[in-house]
Amino acid sequence: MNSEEILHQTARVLARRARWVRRRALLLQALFVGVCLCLAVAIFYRFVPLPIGRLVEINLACMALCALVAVLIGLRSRAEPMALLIRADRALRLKERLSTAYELATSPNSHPFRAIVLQEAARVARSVNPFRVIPATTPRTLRWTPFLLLAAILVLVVDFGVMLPASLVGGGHESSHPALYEQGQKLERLGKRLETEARQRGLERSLETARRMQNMGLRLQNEKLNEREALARVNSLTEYVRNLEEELKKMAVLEDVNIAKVREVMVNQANMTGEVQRLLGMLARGKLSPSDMRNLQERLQSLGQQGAIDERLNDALNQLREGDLEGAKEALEQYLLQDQLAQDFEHLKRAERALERGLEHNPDGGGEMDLDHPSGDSREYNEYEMAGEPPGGGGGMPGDFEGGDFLDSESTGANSSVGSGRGTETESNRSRIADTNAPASKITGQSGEGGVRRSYVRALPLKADAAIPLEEVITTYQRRAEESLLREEIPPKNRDIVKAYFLAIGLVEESTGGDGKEEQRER
Amino acid sequence: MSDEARSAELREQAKAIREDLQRLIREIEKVIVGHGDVIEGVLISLLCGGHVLLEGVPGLGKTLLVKSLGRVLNLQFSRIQFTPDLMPADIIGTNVVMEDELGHRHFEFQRGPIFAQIILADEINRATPKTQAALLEAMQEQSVTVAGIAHRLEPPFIVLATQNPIEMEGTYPLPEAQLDRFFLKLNVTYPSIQQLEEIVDRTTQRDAADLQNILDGERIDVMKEFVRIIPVATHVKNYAARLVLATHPDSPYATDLAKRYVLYGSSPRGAQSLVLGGKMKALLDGRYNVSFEDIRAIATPSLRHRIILNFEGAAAGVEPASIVAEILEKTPEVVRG
Repeated sequence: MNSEEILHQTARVLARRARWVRRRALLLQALFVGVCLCLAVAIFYRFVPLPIGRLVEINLACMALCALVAVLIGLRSRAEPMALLIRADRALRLKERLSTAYELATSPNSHPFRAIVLQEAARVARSVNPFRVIPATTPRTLRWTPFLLLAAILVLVVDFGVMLPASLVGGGHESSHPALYEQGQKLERLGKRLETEARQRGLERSLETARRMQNMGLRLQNEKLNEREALARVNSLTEYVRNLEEELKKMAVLEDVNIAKVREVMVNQANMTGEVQRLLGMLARGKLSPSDMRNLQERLQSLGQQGAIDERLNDALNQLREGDLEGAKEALEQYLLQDQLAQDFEHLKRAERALERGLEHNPDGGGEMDLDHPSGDSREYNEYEMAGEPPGGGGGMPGDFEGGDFLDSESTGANSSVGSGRGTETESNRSRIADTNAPASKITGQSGEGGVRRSYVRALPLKADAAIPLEEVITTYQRRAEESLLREEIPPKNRDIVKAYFLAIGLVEESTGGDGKEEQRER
Repeated sequence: MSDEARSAELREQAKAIREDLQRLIREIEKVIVGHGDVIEGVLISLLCGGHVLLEGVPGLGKTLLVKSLGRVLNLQFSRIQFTPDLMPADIIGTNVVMEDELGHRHFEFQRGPIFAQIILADEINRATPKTQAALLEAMQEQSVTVAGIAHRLEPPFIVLATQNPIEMEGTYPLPEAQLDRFFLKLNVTYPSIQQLEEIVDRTTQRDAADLQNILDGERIDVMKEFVRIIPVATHVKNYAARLVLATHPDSPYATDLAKRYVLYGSSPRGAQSLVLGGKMKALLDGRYNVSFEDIRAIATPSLRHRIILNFEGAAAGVEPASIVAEILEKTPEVVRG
């Protein structure tokens, strides 16, 4: 091996060593960066709790990413032989023999001293120790690594609750029961969802409730309970969450029914009754021309297509086709009568039920009634927006509308109003209420702050169409009636009468299930 | 000729040069006690073709050193005592009217003392700047021009000037152009007690030593050529260049002292001096390449007389050598990228 080869060999050895040292340093620095990231993740974990498995995964991913970057950079790094030989000259005090020789060796121009300088360089190159020239030093920043690791462990382990205000301490879920933690998360999610809905609708009380739910969910995630307490809490919360979910689902379903649809159904129903009456009028004239007969049949058929399929209507149509006008007339009369009887019967049943409840609350018949709330439970009244479906929710009030009959009502919360429309034709309507299969129409309305009330209305105005659409006024009137009671505008002597009246028409329903009420209060 | 043979020959030449220089030094040391670095500096200048300014208080042997050098080198030696009334013609020479045997008169150039190979310009700062300037052409071009006729000076030509740094009265500081033409400025310092005892012994107990000629002009020329082909690596040259640039206050390499106290930095002659002096240092050290250490060793005598201080520096009594020292301390040998 001649002098030049020795020199190049030395350069290669130094280059290998330099690459190795560089990659090692990069890996160590990557480790340091990874530890920093782990600390950051640990701090983040204190504020936003994660499952411990996920935390470990994130930390490992950070470390792996840093190592990968270090390897890539290390693979791309190249060491210049000239720089390495200069370094060797300086480290071993070779007085620039190696670097000068390398320059002469790689120079295209010949130099009189080339051979002699190369020989000198080769002589000293044999003594070059790459470990002395390029020592494997540890990056200075790494001295902080133990402190960072310690800090990360402290952040994960130490309960800062004893040192910091509770608002600053997120707390991990290791100490809380997993099922409780899961329920807490679920409750928090539902709260967020409800908050979104409440924001969209501008419902301040619902918004407040949603925030309470979220806070409760967060508390639950961090709550430390023993197994039994946790399970008990989980059971009650599961029920609560299920009710909430159902409520939210209902709300989502009810939202599909828009006002126009309700109006259409109502108008159709009114038209149907009127149509049947008109058909009866036609039949009462006696003989009908073939065109009138065809017209009659078509109108009866169209009644069936509008959803008012009834056995009597079918009978009337069949008898009309057979030419039995009297039979058809009788069937239609039966239809109207039965419909009216059904409404009357329904109303009577409600009045009877209301009276029974009134007697239960006031067995002496002269006791003072709790006027803070129609149901006598102010707390429940306050929370009626969000509660699931208590057996005896807050009362609703009837509106002053033309005809129609409230058989049942729902709200986004616990409002379950039962009422009966009172109008100019109240007496006749009442007399016509009976069991009926007429479809219930849903009405959505809102008056001021509070939940959106959705009511089911069965039967329709028997005479003319309402001057103001029902859905626009019903909730307003209900709310006004409630407020009158609450503000005690009604003279004390008459309150019982008014209360009895509302009970009689089925507007105010008392709670029938004490357990459910208690549960509702707790929530 | 093969590389091996060529290498062997170069080794022999280098060895012979070193031996000659060692003999030269030993011969001078018969007369001069101590001042090894001054002697080495003078020899470096001699073999690099440069001139030397020796600065020191009276009585330290400056003149004796130069006279001894003149005696050990088989070269023409001339001493010029610079006085305030010395005229350029007294140094260079002048045309005088001569009459031949036939009575014809003609101008003939009478050579001055400058026409020698080793010139001792004793107490050069006592002459007026006009007279000092008479040396400019001779030192740079190694020729003198009189009445439009250039007269070549015989090589090797070296001016060894001395000056007294403490006597300011009746002296004229050397102009910058003149200073820049000196390859090195060597400070002759006071001897140590042992050296002083030796000086006393040599000058009071026996006669002056008889010095022998060691080198002649031809040999010196060969040595000069040899020195010039010693290789210098690019990064070493870069270091020398950065050192020179660091003396300039406006340079990005300038150090704090240079920025504050320097009016003008070194000329490119400073870089030439660094590299050539570095080569000589390497040769004396038995190497065939120049190292950073060689550059650093020659930096102070090469640069200190080329740094012109500003008013603040002069008022503060800053030594240019301290500026060079700071430059050497703060300038990295290798710059990345």
